[in-house]
Amino acid sequence: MSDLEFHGRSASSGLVMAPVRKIYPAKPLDIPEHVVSDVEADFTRLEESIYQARLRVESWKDSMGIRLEESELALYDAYDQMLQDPELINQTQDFIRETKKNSFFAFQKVSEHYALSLLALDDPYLSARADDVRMLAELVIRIGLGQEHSTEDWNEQAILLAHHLSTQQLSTIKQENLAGIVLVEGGLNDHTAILAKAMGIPLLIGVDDDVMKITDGSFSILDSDGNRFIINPSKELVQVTGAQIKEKRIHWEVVKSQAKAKAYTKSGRTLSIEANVGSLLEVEQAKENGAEGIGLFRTELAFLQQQKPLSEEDHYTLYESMLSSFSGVVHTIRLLDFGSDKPLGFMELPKEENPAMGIRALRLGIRNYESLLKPQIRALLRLSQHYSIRILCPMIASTNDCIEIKQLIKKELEDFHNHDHLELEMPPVGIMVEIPNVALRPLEFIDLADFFSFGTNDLAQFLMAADRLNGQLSVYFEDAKPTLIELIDNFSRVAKSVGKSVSICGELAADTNYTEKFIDMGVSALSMAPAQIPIVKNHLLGLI
Amino acid sequence: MIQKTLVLNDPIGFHARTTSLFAKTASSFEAEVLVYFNDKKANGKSMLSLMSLGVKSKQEIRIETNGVDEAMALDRLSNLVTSNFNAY
Repeated sequence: MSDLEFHGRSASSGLVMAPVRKIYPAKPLDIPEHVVSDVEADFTRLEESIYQARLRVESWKDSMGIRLEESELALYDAYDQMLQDPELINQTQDFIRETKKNSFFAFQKVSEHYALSLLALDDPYLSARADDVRMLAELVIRIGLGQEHSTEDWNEQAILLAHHLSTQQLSTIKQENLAGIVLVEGGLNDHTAILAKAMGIPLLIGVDDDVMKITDGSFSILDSDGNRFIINPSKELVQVTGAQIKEKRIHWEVVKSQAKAKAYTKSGRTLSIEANVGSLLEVEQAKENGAEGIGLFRTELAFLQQQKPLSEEDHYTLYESMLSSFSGVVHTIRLLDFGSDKPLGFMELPKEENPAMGIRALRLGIRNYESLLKPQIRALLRLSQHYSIRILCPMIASTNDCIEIKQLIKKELEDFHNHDHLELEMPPVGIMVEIPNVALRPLEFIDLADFFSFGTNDLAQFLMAADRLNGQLSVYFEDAKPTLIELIDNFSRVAKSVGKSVSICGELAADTNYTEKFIDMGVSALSMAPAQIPIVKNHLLGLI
Repeated sequence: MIQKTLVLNDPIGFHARTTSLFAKTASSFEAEVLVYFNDKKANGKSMLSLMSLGVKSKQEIRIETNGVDEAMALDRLSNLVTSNFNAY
C-alpha cells in the first residue's frame, strides 16, 4: 500500500496520527415495534445489550484514564449507574407486561420518558443529563439491533473525515476520542473551526472530494500546519512524525506551565491575555491555561438550549456557577447575541433572508425585552455586586443603539432602588466594535461606553461583504486583516486619549503575527479560545 | 416504616453526583427507600428517578425507609444529606 497525500487549508493547527473514521449524516435509529410471543427471551436480548453497553462505557473510561482527572472520570461511573438503574429496568418490564411489545421498543419509551421529565425541570445541569439518558438508550438499542454507526463505537483516538460537519454533530462526538478533523467543505471562520481551535484539535478544510473514497479505518497522518493529510504513510514517515509529535508534546508541556504566570516581553511590556468562554468546561479550561480574565463570556447557553425563557433567578444561578469557579478576575459578559438562524426552544423567531444582518442580538433582545433581556440584565446587575463584571453590548451600529441599551440598564438599576431598596452600583458597560459604522468613527462613540471590544470576525464579514459561514469566501478574511489592524490602531489612539480601554476578542486576537503590533498600539487585552492562551503567551515571552 | 424530613443543602441540589451517591448508598440496604418532594415520589435506589424530582438547593425532601434494615438505612441516608454528600 503506497501512501496517498491530500491537501487542504489549516483551520486549526496540529500534528496527529490515528486511524480515519468516516462520518456520514447519522441514520436515524429505526426501532421496530411489534408484539412478541417469547417475552422472556426478548428481554434477555435487552439485558445482554445493556451489559454490552456497560462494557463499552468501561472501555471509554479506561482509554481516558490517563488523560482525565478523577473527577471527570466520575462521569463514566454515572453512565454505568444509569445503565443499571432499577427504575429504568422495572418500568421497561412493566411496559412489556402491559403491552407485550418488544423489549427495545419498551426500553426506548421508558428512557424517553425519563429524558423528557428531566428536560421539563428546566435546569441546565439536568437537561445535560437528559442528553446522557438519550445517548445511553440509543447506545443500548443500536448495539441490540445491530444499527451501530461509526461515531458511537469509538473507543480510541481517530481522525474524523467528513464531507461536512455541523456544530451539532461535532458536539455529539466524544472530544477525547477526536484526534483531528478533515473536511471537504468548511470555512476558516465557521463555528466548527472555532470549536476545533477551542478544543486544540487540528482541522484541515477544503480537501478534495476524492478523500471520501479512502477506506474507513486507514491509518493516517494529519499535518494541518503543513496543510496535508497522508493516508497509509510509510514506516519511515510514521517514525519521523512520531518523534515530532513527542517533541511537540514536551514543548507544549513547557509552554503550558509557563502560561500559568503573567507573560512579559523581554523589555517588560505586556497586555492582558484573556479567554473567550461559553460554558463551565471552558471556564475551567481558561483557568487551567493561564487566562488572566474572561474577556468574552458568551451567554447563548442561557437561551439556546432552554425550553422556556430563563427567569432572573435562573440567569443568576447559571452565571454564578461559572463566575465562582474562576473568581478574582474580571469577567466581561456579553448580553444575548444570536439571531433568527439559531432556533429558540421557547419562542418562534420569524425567518429572515439575512439573519447575520437582521433582528439579532440586542435588536432581538429589546424587541422581546421582558422575556429575554430584562432578566439577564437584572441578574448581571445583582452579580456585579459580588464579582468584577463588565457588561458588553453586542451588535451596536449607531449611537442611538448605544444610548438605548444604556438607558435600559440604568432603568433596571433605578428599579432595584425604587422597588427592592437595593443600592446597586453601575458596572462598566462597554460595546462590541463589530460594525463598520462604529469602527470607522471612534470619536462618535468614545463618550458613550466605558470600554470597547473589537469583534474581528463579524467586523471582517461586514467589511468584506463576505459571509463567514461560506467556506468558499474564507480568502477574504485573510485580506481583511490589514484593514482591521488600521481600524483597531485608529480606535485605540482615540480611546487612549480619554483613558478608555480597547480589547480584541475575535480570531485576530490569537494571531501571533500581530501580537507585537497590538502591544505597540496600546491594546489592553487580547481574548481568545482557552487553548490558544499558552501559545500567545509563549510568543509574548520571545518579543522585545 | 420510618421517615425523616431534611433540607438538601448541596449548592446545586439533586444532580448527577448527589443522586448517584444517594442511590448507591440506598442500594446497599435491603429496605425499600422512597424520597418525597412536593407531590412527587422517587425510588431512592434509582438515580434517574431521584434526578427527575428536580430538587434544588435548600429545598426539603422526605425520606421513607421500609424493611428489615430501615433504621440503619434512614440513618446513613440522612447523614449523607446533612453532610452535604461529603462523608461517604
